[in-house]
Amino acid sequence: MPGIDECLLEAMRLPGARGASLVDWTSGLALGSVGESPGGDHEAAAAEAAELARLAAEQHAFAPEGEPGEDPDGAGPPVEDLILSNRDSYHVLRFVRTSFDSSVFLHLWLTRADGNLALARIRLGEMAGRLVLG
Amino acid sequence: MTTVRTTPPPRLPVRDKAAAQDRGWGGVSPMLTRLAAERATGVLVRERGTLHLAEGQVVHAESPSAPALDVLLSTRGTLHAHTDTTAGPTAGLTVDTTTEAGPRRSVPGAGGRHRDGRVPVDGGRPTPGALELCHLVALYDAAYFALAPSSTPGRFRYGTAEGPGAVRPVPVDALERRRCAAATCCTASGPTRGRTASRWCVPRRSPPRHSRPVGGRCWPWWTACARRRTSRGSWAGPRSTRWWTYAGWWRPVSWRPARRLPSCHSRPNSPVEGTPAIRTTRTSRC
Repeated sequence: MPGIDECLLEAMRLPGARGASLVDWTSGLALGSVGESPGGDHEAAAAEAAELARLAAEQHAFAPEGEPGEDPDGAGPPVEDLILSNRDSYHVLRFVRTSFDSSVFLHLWLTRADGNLALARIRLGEMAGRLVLG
Repeated sequence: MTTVRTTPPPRLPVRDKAAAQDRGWGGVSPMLTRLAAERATGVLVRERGTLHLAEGQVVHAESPSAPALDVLLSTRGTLHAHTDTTAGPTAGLTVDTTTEAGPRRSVPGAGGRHRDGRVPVDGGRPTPGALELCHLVALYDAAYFALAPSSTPGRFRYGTAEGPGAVRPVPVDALERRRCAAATCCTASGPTRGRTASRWCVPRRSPPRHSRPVGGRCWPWWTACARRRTSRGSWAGPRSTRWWTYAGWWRPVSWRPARRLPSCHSRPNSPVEGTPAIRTTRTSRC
């Protein structure tokens, strides 16, 4: 997969996808976004999603240190994804594991009526891998 | 009887507020907005960093307050130190750790100038997608600090396009809007309430004692220190370089552009040569 835009466009092909973005959770900036945004503003949505991601990635309860199953390279938090379900939609946040110093995640917004949560989770994982590994 | 009439004073010039509101983001840097409108190509030097513009879009940014692309790539071993990349079209980036002042960047060729994007892509090195990702992260980081409120006017030097043309240029308005959004959002709520925008995105908890850098706050020297001193070895021990940056755990080193910088708004055809005049010289304090 060549780049960020192609990755996001592939995410938008998932059933029920309303919007997708790639967000840096250290700074809260959206590196790329397609489709609609949950609050009508891509930047604000990215900053708020980054708060949620940072909360999960930095708390000991969710990301304990010294776990046996952790990444040997120390390339990121052990959290793989976050799923948040609303009355009418789903948010799936998938952390992108990179071999360099970064902290980004894919944020997918799905409608509840059409979205398939299991499929979205699996596909997002594959996309995150392809984005970094090619 | 003659009456002396005094001429009424002329109206003072008033800034057009309607035009400022049309911009929407308030204009972080009016000069940058103007340069983007005229699709300028060159280097904008501000107090806390430089922005490289090509056709009115930002293709590269560097700031002493933010880790550069080569540092991001080498922190976790993607790009190893002493990588000799001086041969071929991918020349231009080596991380030199042999100096007395500790680790520092040095870029062979181009007069020691940082030529971003000349990172080797083939041979098991970062893929194009990863490089684009890393480049964007580095660009946004540096641009955030470069666009911080400054006490001195910025200078722009017209010239050739710098940085990689192939790696995703960023429109100026998007950059400014995102900076405003992030600063406003993060200072309006959370732990950074009421603080200055430069301390935006301070983590909710203070870094654990065992992972704090020793030997001062100088960067990137403390990265090595923190890595060595942390015995736990997990990712949460040696924090990422960017985490430390945004946490404000190190102060920016003194940094200034080259002394013989051409005068402001020098055109490409002016007698001043368009050869590299910006050097990212850093003085290490460790």
